[in-house]
Amino acid sequence: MAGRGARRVALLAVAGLVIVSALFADRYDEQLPEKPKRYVTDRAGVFGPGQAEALNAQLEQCERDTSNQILVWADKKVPEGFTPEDFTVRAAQKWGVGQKQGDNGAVLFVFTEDRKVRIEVGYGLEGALPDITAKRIISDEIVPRFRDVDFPGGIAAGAGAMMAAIKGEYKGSGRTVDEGRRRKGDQFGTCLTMAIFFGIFFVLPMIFRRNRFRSHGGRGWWTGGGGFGGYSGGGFGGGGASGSW
Amino acid sequence: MGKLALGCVAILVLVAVIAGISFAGTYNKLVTLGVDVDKQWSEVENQYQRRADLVPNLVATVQGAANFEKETLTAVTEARASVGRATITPGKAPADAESLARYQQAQDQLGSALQRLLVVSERYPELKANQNFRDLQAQLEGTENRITVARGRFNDSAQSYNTVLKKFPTNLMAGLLGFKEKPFFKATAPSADQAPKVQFDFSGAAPTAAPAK
Repeated sequence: MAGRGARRVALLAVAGLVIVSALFADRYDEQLPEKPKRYVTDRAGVFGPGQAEALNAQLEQCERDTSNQILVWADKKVPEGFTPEDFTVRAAQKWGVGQKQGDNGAVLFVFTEDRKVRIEVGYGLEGALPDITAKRIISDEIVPRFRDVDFPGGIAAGAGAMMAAIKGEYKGSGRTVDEGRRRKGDQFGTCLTMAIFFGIFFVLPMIFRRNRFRSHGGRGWWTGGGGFGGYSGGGFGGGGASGSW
Repeated sequence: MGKLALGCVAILVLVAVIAGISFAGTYNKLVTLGVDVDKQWSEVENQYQRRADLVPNLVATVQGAANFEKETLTAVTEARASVGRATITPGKAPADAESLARYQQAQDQLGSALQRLLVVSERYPELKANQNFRDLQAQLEGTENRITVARGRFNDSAQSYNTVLKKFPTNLMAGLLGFKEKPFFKATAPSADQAPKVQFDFSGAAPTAAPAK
């Protein structure tokens, strides 16, 4: 029958659209690294024993005090197929560093073999950490130390200066996003969120299968586990500064 | 006999209802995506405006440097003026490829004039040592980067819109509903979609700073 044939075509179109749009949205995203589990990620092996943990603890305390999330990402090279600035803004945006309402995240990226450093600043911190300040932090705090091959010192000084610059811009809640979520009953909350998502994204379209939908990539949800995982979707628009040494 | 007719009518009604829902769904989806394209476009305009706003300050600072190349400064000022003229309806993505191309051309002209200014300024030690100038340079760099990001996101949103528009069966309805394809930024300069990078290599060039008297 014509009706059934048309329905089949429409169903196929829905399936095709979902697949194609998923592919389309993830063209770059899938090449980006997963969200870091900690504030400090050292893929370049620049930190000595205990140094990364110390900085990690400082950054965690910073989020408790100010609600600003500052991350450090050290790697040897910028991933293939990206320019440094392209990679850093996409990664920071994908991870969703910072609170969603405040967009108050910032990431210090260091690529040791490419000799590139970049401070990526979320929308909400562009006032407290404008490009000029970011540039000065890079040229005055970070680059001189990197020239002396003191990577841990340069990174710590840079992160310290970033924390100092943005102190007081946002009021902290006394705990990190991660801790806040855990406190609210982690299992039940997660299950409920998943159930709601399932309802919205799978059940409703099955009922109204005529309404094509497309997933909006990027904003993942927290899935539990220990340590740092409390991203809540801060936005980035390319603010910050870059430098090399 | 009556039963059959009733059945036929029921099926027809069902088909009509399904077609109606589908029609509304398509319409709403295209409207949503179109709004997103406009949103991303206003961010593009925003960042270009931000760059244009930096120009007077930059020109004033550079003018302070003794004997700064007049030509370079004039080029920047003129490009800044032509950018002001090349505005399209603000807050709304350009409807046709031609007006976008015109806009892009004016902006690219200002971009290359500014790039030239920065290159030339390397020859003026007093300018390089000027903190105000260095701050403006940092702001300009940051703005160029924001422009790149905004343009990239605008292109992504325009392409999502176009992809949906061209797909079956949306393509059949889109024409009836008056939706058109959205133009997007084409990579122009040799450096594709990147902010202009300034190469500092004046090893051979003699400094042409203020002539000693």
